Amino acid sequence: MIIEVDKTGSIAGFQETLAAVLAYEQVKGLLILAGEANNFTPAALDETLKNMPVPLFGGIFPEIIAGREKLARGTIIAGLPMAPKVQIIPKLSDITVDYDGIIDKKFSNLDQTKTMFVVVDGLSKRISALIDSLFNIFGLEINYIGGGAGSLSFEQKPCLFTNQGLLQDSALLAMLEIESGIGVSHGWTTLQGPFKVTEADRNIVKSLDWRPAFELYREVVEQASGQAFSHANFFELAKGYPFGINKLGAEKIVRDPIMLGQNGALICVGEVPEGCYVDILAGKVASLVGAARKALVLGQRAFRGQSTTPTMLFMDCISRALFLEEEFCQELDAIFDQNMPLLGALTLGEIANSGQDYLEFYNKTAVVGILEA
Amino acid sequence: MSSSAEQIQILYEIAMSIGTSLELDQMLKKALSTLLKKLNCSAGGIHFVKKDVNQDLGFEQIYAIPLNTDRNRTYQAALQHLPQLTDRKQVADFYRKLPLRGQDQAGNHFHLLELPDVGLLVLIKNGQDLDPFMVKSLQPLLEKLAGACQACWQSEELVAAHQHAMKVNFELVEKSNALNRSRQDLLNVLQELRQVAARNQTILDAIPDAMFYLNRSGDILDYKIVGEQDLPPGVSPEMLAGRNLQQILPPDLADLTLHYIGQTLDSRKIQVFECQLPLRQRRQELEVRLVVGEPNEVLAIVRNITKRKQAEKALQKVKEELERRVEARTAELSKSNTLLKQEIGERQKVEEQLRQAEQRYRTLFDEAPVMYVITRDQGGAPIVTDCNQQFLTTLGYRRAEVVGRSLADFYTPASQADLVEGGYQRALQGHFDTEERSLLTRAGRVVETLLRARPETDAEGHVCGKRAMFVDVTARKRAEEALRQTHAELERKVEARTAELSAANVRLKQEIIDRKQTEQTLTTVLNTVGEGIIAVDSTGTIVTVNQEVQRIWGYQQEELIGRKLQILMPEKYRSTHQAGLQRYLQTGAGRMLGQWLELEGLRKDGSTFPLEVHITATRIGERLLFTAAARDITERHEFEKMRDNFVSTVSHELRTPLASIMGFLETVLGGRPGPLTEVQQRFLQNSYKSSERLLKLIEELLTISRIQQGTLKLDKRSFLPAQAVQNVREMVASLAAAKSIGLEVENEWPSDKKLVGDQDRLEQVITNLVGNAIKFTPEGGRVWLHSDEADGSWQFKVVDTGIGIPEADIPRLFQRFYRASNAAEAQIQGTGLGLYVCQAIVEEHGGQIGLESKLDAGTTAWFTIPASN
Repeated sequence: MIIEVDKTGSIAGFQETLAAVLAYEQVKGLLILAGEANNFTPAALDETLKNMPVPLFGGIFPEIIAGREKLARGTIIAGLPMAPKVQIIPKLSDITVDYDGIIDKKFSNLDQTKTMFVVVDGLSKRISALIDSLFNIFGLEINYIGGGAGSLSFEQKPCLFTNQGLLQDSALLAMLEIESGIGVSHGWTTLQGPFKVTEADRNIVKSLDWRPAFELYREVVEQASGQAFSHANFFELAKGYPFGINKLGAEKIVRDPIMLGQNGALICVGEVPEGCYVDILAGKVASLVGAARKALVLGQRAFRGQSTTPTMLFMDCISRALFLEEEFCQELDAIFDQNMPLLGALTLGEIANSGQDYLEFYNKTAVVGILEA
Repeated sequence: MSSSAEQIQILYEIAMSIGTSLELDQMLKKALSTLLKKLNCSAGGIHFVKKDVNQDLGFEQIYAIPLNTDRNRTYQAALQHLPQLTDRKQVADFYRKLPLRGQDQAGNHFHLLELPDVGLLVLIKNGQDLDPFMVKSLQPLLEKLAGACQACWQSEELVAAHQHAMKVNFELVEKSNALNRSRQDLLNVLQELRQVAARNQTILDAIPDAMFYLNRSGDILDYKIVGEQDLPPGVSPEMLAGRNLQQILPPDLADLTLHYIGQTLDSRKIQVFECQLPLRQRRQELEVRLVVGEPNEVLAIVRNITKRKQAEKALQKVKEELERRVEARTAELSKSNTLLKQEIGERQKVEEQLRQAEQRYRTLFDEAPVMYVITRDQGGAPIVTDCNQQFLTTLGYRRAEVVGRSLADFYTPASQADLVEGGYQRALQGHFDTEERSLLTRAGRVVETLLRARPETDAEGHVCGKRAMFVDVTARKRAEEALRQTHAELERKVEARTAELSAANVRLKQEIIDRKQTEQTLTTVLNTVGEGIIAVDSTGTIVTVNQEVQRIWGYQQEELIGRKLQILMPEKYRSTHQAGLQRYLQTGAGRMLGQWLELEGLRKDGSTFPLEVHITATRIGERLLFTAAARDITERHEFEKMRDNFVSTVSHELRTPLASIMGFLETVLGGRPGPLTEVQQRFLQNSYKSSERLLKLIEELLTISRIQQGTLKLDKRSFLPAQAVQNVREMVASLAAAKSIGLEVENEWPSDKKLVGDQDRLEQVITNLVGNAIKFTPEGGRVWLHSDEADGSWQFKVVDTGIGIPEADIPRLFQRFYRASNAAEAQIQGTGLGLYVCQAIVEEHGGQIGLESKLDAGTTAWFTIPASN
């Protein structure tokens, strides 16, 4: 994999980096990770993207990771040694769309695919439904890795790189014939619970234990943190107290409440099924950094490739970085391996599976992919 | 590991997901996906006990996640445990074995769990397996799932029954509507019938006949009479009802009527008879019409026809009189008729003959391929009275549109003018020439014709018109026109071609003149060139030579043209030349081409001389031509020999005083004459270093001189190459250290293995190569010395990380005084003689030397010395 980083985050820098990667004859496809601070817009980029000679995919994330460094501004362009088959799934918030049917129709043959990159608009409302459909159609015969792109302002805008230009409210499924090993872990533990989700609409939790969701959540979090919620600081406080959905014999599936909704509802990244039980979780620096290290170990253990110089793709939740603040460098140190080039993104939700567990859309989770490329 | 409380939550969440829909697919999707997600299973499926198309029992997969379980090896391993079923008892036996758990070869787990009365659930769990407690805890949920499945079925049945009932209800409503429509239709019909009956009664009342409904016995069932006068005497209308005919009619009439009633009823056909009835002092004539009515009933329509009978009798009398008269007249006419028939027969024969003649004429007239028109003079104008079909077809008119019009109407204006000018008048006067006329079709097309006209005379022999015959010559005219145009075109082309040929001829003549001049110029140029020019074709035959060749070799030009090139070279070169020529023709590769070569030439007088020659290959059209430019370098060789001798002498003369200078410098620097100041020491050291460089240059010049003179002598003895390398390493170590260059030696040539050669000279070669590597490597770089055995030879290699050599310079580096272009740029000192000397020494040992380099990346220089040397 040819990896070039432009730290200026400018359009000119993007185009120069693109040209530099495309100059390599072996480059057959592109993975593009860009920082939100670049302020890339369709008007500025669509013409360039539409004229690309190779298939591409990627996203604009709150921040990106290049080596041991996280960058708010900049672009990573990875030249892939084989052409990915990229499919675009539009309308990722539309409740009427049957993703099972669309995926079944778009993918007739997966024989050679070993790894699927899934990049979604992280602020779409039906990401979990799409993930369930992926599992329904493909099962766990292939590895999945990816995450949610989008802005930390939580304003939905074009954030997916495609050969059609920058798109929003969509998902990109890119299939590659490369071996991979995937590791997933988060390190969040139960603070209090369980609470029954008595009313929910996709990613909006309306009530818990028959009470307005925020009312109950506020009680628990304010008591545990000793701080009071306000409209201005909701996420500042909530980023340390996500929800956890139970799953037998596995880490809880984390759901990150990011905004206050109407009538005391909580808006999460990813769906929370009505009728399920959730815990309110809390984390510590050590447990989170340990989880990142665990994800690396799991990824390496699962890797079956022959390459002695694989590449590491790190999809880590932006809220982990926001929670860890200065200590986030510890997380990067924990996964850094000087024998492996490292690239990645700080995402709005993570997607991963290494063939063991039911495929899920994660929040606040560290995902390490070891790629044979 | 999840706690028991969490497990209970999970079970609760699974339970809540079961039965959320009465549609089976939706219900199973929700329940199974929740179950798999919460239990962290990687796949699962629902199988129902069902009969297949052959009525065999089996576990049919109804729903699975993922949808395609064919690729899931664990799932397929689980299915291997499903038995072949033939009856429900076997199903029950199999259920007793459940729950069943197992593992596939990869260590993934599967579970087969009973769905009571429905089928079974397959669960696939990768990694850590489900614990038995959890599996047991699932049982009530599975019962609920089975119940939900049955509820879905019942729902489906209910829906089906409801749909059936709805269908039946719909059909009943449809039928009821149809009946209502039928009843209304009947009422409408009844109303119509009433109206018809009223109309019939009106019609009946208007009929002037008496009518009676009678049965076979003659009983009067109903009746209608016009007036009492129609009744037999003594019978009033009131007496008719319920009476029998025999009671009111005379017996014979009653019998007759009964007879016809019987016939009517038996035959079911209308019977009509006439009879007489005495009424009011007169006998009345009656016509009775019997019509079949209801079974065994007839309608008797009785009409009084007394007056009609009387009129008929009067009419009969008139008729008989008329017939008689007709017979008499007929006899008269019959006679005259016979005469007339004879006359008519004869006339008919003549007419038939005339008609046939007319027909033949008409056929000829119409089918003739020329146009015929017959005109009659009327006020000076030729009015068409007839024309044939060809005329109509050609001009596109119908006969009715032609007859009665002036023939002039069908001419073009030009022909009309001609006609007015007298053509027709001449015709009337009996002058009938063959003329050209242009006719105009209805569509406006011009038909060119030849007109030949004959006078048409009346019964008295006067010319009253003309018979005109038009022959269509349009095609001929067009062909003539086309021929004329073609002819004109050919004339034009011949003229143009002639002009072109003339111009080409002039050009060719000029070109021949130009070419002759060019040839003369070229020959002049060729003969004034200071080099011998020889052109040879692909067979090696001389095609052209210039005068310089004549001077160099002593042959006349004409003596050489057509001869093989070999006559100009000594015997020892001829086979090599021939082989090189063949190789070039076969492969296109020519090592001798495009460079100056030093060879020997053979003059006509048999003497040889040193020759410098440059050969190029040129393709002129299909012809391959080799051109050799040759110089006699005898004088140059003699000069070089003189120069080398001079250099050798001078070098010897220089070395002696230089050795003295260096000796004194060493002594002074050694401090024996007395202490030196620091400045003095530095100056003297510089002088000593310069002397060293000068000595090295002189040594190289001397070596070159020996090489040139062929007097380079090697002191070949057995020596240890490993030792030689080590000696050099020690010698250059300080040079490398001064530039912080890492110097590494990889000595793979066995340390105790000897080789025959001039150790000093070979050390000189190694020193030169390593010295170059250090000189051309920037500070902090690396230099590797590698000594090895390869293919029976000693192979020595120096690899550096230096500035490299431009690719264009590499082929010339082994020439005397040649230095790489970037060496001067980098201000690296040197004479350009070192590699030339190295090459000479290595080749004297029977070895080879060479180097590879990449600009800014480094250089590898190497040589090999055969062990058998």
